[in-house]
Amino acid sequence: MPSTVDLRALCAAMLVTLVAMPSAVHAQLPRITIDRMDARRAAGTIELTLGAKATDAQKKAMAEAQGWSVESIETATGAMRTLPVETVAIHPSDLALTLDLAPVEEEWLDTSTHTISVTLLRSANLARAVSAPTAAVPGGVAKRRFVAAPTVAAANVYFSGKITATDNTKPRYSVEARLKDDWEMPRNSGHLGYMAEVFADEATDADPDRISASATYRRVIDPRPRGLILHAQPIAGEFARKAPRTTTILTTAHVEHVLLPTTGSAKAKGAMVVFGGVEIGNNFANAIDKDNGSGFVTRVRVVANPFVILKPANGPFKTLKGSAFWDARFLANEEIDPGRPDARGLPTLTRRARHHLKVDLDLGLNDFVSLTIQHRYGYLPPVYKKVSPTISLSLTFKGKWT
Amino acid sequence: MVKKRTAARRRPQKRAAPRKRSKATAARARTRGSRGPIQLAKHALTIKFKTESELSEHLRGLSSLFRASEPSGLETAGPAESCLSLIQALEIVIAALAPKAFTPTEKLGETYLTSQERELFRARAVRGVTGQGCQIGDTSVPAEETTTHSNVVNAIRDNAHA
Repeated sequence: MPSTVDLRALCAAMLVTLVAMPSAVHAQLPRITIDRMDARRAAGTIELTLGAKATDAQKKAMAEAQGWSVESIETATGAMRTLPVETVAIHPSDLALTLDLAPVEEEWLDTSTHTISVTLLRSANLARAVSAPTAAVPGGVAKRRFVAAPTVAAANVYFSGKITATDNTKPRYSVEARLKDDWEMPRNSGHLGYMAEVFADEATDADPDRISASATYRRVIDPRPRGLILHAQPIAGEFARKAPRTTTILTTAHVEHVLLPTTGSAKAKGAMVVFGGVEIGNNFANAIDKDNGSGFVTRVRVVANPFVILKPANGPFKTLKGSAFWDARFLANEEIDPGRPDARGLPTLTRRARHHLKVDLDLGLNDFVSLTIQHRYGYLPPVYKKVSPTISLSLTFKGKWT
Repeated sequence: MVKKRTAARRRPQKRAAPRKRSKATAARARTRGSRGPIQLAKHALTIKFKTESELSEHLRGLSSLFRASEPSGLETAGPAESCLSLIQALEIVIAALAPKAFTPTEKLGETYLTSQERELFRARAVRGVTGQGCQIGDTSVPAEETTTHSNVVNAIRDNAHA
C-alpha cells in the first residue's frame, strides 16, 4: 500500500488539478499564490493574503462568493462540512481578501482541530490554500544564527586586517576589529549590550594600540522613515596601550538620523545616515601627565555616513559597496594633541577640532568576505595620533547574529 | 454441494448487533471494498467516476481519511488565534513600509539599504501593533535583509498577543 502521506498529497494534487480544469480561459493570467490563510472564529470569516497583486480579471473572479469552495474537516474524525461563502471583500491593497461565511459553529473554524481548505473554483491561477500553510516556521522569526552583515555598521563581528612586508624591515600589521551584541529589554524599552573595538595602526606586532570597550544602550525614539535612534554608552573606556599611554572614561549619547533614506534601483542604491551627540568624561592619564591626565573631557561629535551599493550583473565581485565615514569631534576642553608638538617635540594640550575620515570600497567576494580598498586620514581619540593619508588593500570579514 | 449451500441459506447464523462506525472508519471501509468506486489494491488505487463532481467528491472523501497529525508538508495545525487579524497585520506592515510599496516577495534588504532604516521600520511595525491594543516584542518582528514583506505580516500575526 502506498504511504498515507503520499496518498494524501496525491489526493490534494488531483483535487487542485480538477478544480483548475474548467478554467482554461484564465490560463493566460499570472498565477497567484495564497500566501496565508487565517480563520477568524469569532468573526466567522476567513482571511487570505496573496503572494502578488491580483489583476482586474482575477479580482472579478475572486469577488464572486459562489466561486469559492470552503471546506472544514475535523481532523480527529474526518467529519467534513462545506462552509458557504456569503460575501467577499477585497482589501484596497489588492493583496488580501476576506471571505464572510454563512453562520457556522465556531469549532468548524478552529484550525487546531480542523483542516480548512479554500479553493477558488473559477480560476486555475489562484493556488488552493490549506489552513496555516506557513506554520512550518512559526512566527517567521528564525532561530538566532550567524549571517553575513551588509555593512560595517551592522556587523556584530567585524575584522579588517592587512600585513605590509618590505625588504629589510619587519612586517607591519594593521588591524581593525569589533565585537558587539545587544539584547531586547522588557516592554520595548530598548536594547542593552556591549561593544569592544581594537585597533593596531601599522604596528610591527599584532598587539592592539587602541582599545575601546563599553556598555551600550539603543532605542528608537522617532520611528518615522527619517527617524531618530538613540545610542548611549553609560560607561565607555578608551585606552592606548603604547606610548603615550592614555586612559579616558566616558559617558556618551548620540542620536542617529536617516538623512537620506534608500533611493535608487535594484542595481544601484544609495543612502545617508548622520549622527551627532556628546561625549562627557574624564581623562585619567596621558603623555603629558601620566598620573592625573588632562581631567574633564567634553566633546561634541558629528558623523556623516553616506554609502552606495552596486550589484554588477557580471564580473568577479558579487557587490561593490562604497562608504565614507566622516567623524568630527569638537572639544570643549583641552585634550592631548600629538599633531601640535612643543619645542621639545612633546605633545601639547589643545582644543582644536579633530576630524577623521574613513573611506572603504568593498569588493564582495562572497557574503562574508571582501577585499577592501581603504583610505584613512585624521585623528581618533584617545591619543589623537595623526593617521596619514594612506590607501591600502585588506581582507574584511563582516558577520552578525540575527 | 448445491444442497449444502441451500441449507446454509435457510439457516442464517446469529449475527452480532451491528457496531456503530465512525465516519472515518466507514470511509476507510469504502475504499477497501472491491466493488465501490474506490478500489485500493496492494500497490494501486483506482477511482471510478462518471462526472467530475463525482471524482471531486471521492477525492475529498479520501483526503478526509488522513489526519493532520500525520507528518506531511501539505497541512499543519495552525497557531492559536492571534490578537490581530491577518488583514490588520497586513495593514500595519503596509503603513510601516509607506511611502514604499508593499510587495509580498520583496526582501527588506532590497527595500532598505541601511540597518537603521530596517530598525525604524521594525519600530513602526511594533508601534502599529500596540496601536491596535496588542503587544509584541521587538525581536518578534523580523527585520533582516532576507526577510520578505509577507514574512513580517505572518510574524506579526503569529506573535502579537493581548
